[in-house]
Amino acid sequence: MKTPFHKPTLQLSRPLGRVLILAALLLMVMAGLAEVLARLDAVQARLPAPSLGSGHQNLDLKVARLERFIKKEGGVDCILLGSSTVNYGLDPEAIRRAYRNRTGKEIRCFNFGLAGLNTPMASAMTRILVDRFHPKLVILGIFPGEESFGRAAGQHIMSNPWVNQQLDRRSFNGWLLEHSMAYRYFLRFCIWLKQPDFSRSTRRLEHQTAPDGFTRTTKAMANIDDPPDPVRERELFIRYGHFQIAPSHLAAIDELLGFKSRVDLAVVEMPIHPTTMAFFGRGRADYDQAIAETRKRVLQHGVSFWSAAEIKIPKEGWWNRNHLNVTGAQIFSVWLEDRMAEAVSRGLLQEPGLVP
Amino acid sequence: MTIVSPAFFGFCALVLMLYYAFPTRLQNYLLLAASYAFYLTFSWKFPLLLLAMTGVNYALGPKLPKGRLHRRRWLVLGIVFDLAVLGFFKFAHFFVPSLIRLLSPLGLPVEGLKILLPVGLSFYSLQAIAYLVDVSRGQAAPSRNIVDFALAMAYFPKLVAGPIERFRSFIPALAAPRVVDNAVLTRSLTLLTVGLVRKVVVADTLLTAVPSKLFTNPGKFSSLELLIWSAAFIVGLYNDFAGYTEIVRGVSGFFGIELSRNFAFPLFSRNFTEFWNRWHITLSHWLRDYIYFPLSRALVRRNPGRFNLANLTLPPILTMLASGLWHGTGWNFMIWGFLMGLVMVAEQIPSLWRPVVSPDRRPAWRRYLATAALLVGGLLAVVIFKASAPTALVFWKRLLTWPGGAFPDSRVFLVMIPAFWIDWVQYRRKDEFAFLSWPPLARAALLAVAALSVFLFGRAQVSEPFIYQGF
Repeated sequence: MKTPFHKPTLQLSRPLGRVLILAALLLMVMAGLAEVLARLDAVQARLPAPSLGSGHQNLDLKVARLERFIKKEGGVDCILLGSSTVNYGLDPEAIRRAYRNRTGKEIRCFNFGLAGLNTPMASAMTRILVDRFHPKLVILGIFPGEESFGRAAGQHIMSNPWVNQQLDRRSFNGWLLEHSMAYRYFLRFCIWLKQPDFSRSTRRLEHQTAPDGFTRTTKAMANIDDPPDPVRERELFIRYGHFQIAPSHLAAIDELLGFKSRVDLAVVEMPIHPTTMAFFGRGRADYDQAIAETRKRVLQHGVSFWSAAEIKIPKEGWWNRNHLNVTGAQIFSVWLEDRMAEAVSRGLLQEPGLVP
Repeated sequence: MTIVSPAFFGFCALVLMLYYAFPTRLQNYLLLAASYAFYLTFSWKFPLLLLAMTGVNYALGPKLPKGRLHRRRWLVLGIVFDLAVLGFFKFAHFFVPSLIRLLSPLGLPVEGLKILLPVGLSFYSLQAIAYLVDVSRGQAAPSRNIVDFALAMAYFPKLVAGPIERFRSFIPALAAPRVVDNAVLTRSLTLLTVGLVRKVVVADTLLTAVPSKLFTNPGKFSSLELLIWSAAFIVGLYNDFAGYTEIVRGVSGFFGIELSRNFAFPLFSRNFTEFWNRWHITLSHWLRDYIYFPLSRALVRRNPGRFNLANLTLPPILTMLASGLWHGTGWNFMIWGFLMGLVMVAEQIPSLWRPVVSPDRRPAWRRYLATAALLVGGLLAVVIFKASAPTALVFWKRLLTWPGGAFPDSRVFLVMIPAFWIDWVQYRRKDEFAFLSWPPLARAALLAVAALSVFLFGRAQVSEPFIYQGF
């Protein structure tokens, strides 16, 4: 029997397209089943974290962990944002314990420290975190000198379709990443298949990273009190030797602080070992100038700025010159909670926790 | 516009819709316009060259049939013209630096001068030469329809990388009315699906996994890594080219125009002679019909007898040298061609003393051993194809002296499984449409899996890792 598609060239007859229709139905069933399975807790618990395909060491992991955290806890009260200094240096569980002890309330904190995150990227991430996850409080940890390094990380983050989707730069890939957990697991499979070394290092990082996002390391730098070695630590001397406050950093601080109308904000200077000053071209002067400039901007916006100058971290609390290990993170996190309590009592922040 | 891209498939869909709506007598005009539009997406200069070559070869056609005056001179002129155009662009990188040195003192803006090899030139120039020779031999009639001839030269599915069609059959096929019925549609869809799986799932995955320095700095790798990654490269290369050909054949099928098969399970070959009849078939047959056979015949006429050294060695060696030259202009391609020619000479030697036994009639163990030997030989040969001669020596030495080394993390080879499985299913039935004999539900399941795989592998964008060292 002829079909409507019967022309001189196209001479199709019935039955037509039986296999195609069947294939389409099977495809929908397969895709649907994969999506259902990918969203099951029992399945997710057994698989590595799904990927956004960003190539960034922990962006994909942190987003996946935060989504699971919110699903389990019912929401997130406080997000700790910053670079790897935050990733390794702030322990949400320590904050939670200290907060509970002080107030009797629970606070749901998540560590969203991302390797190499600089202030412009932090501003973009703040928008995403606030729009998508609705925390009550975002605490930004800063370390001057991230700007020069952060460009590489920034490219990975800002070119990612999921990140762009959140920033209203939509694409089909962004839509897929946002709506399909099965697709994100497929990307993780692609990493396993095509980038085995990266897959292994990501898996190690997953094991090190707690459900609340805190990445713990127990390593401690030997001889940290010794001055930096210009030969062995040459790269850091090069990186920070010509340190200047980047205009983009200051502009990003202003942009980030603009979110104050939508979420409580606080900025904390991440601790660095005193010997780190030797990397800066003008030593302490460079570092203090950067902190002072940032502090001034933050205070002008009416946002709390907490300086780490007073805090004493013992030498066994340092993984390296500007990263804390789990011991140092414990100390610093308790100190941070104390600053938070003070800010709440002074009316600078709203009470972020919940009655259990 | 690349073949595997949404833009290309959108373009095809648009052309198809118009094509089916057009009356038959106008379809070739539409295809010709579409083909030139497609070629324009690469560069506005390329269609000009194609137009010139089309014009010259079309004009020469009527001067070549037997009985025409000076037909041999016109034939030689045509072949020289086509080869000169091809040679000019292929060898441009040799003479451009000298040209720059010569012309820049004259104040001419030649710094940074580059002459790009026009996409597809290597393919349509061979087609043009074949047309001229076929007409002069009386095997084809000179084309009297400029539109059909121009379309044969420019037809967009085969323009970029073949297959190399013979105009003696292709032009009549273009001139005849075409029919796309259920069977043609099904076969075209099958080719398209298999082609996409080969290219997107297998080849793209494998070829991006092969270390970039494998053929430039083999000293960095252990013997085992060299072996494993070379094998991956060959499988990736095969699926890339075979996949591309199947895609364009599938697309062409939707227009009712059949393109020649280019691959027939080459990895199951038992010797190199068989291999070259299964790999890039249209090129192999072109070389056979326009270099090997004419040369053999000329030599046999000059030196009658089975055991003449020149008769035995020159045709295969010169044919494979021509193949090497066609593939590239470096010395490594010439060495590759020479070595391939030597191998084919060696394969012929036993036939001088005893009757040729078809590989199919040999015991199974001999067939498998022969295939294994071929794969090893192919692996060694691909090195000189990809690497410069000195680097190839380093590669071979490292491979053959075998310091061993750790087995590379080769999980990416999982994608080779569907590739071999496709070939195996087709090879067993000696039919590239073997899947069409499956029950409808099985075919539908296979199609669904193929479509999902192509979508996922094609879509999945996984950035290069950013490894953070802690600062």
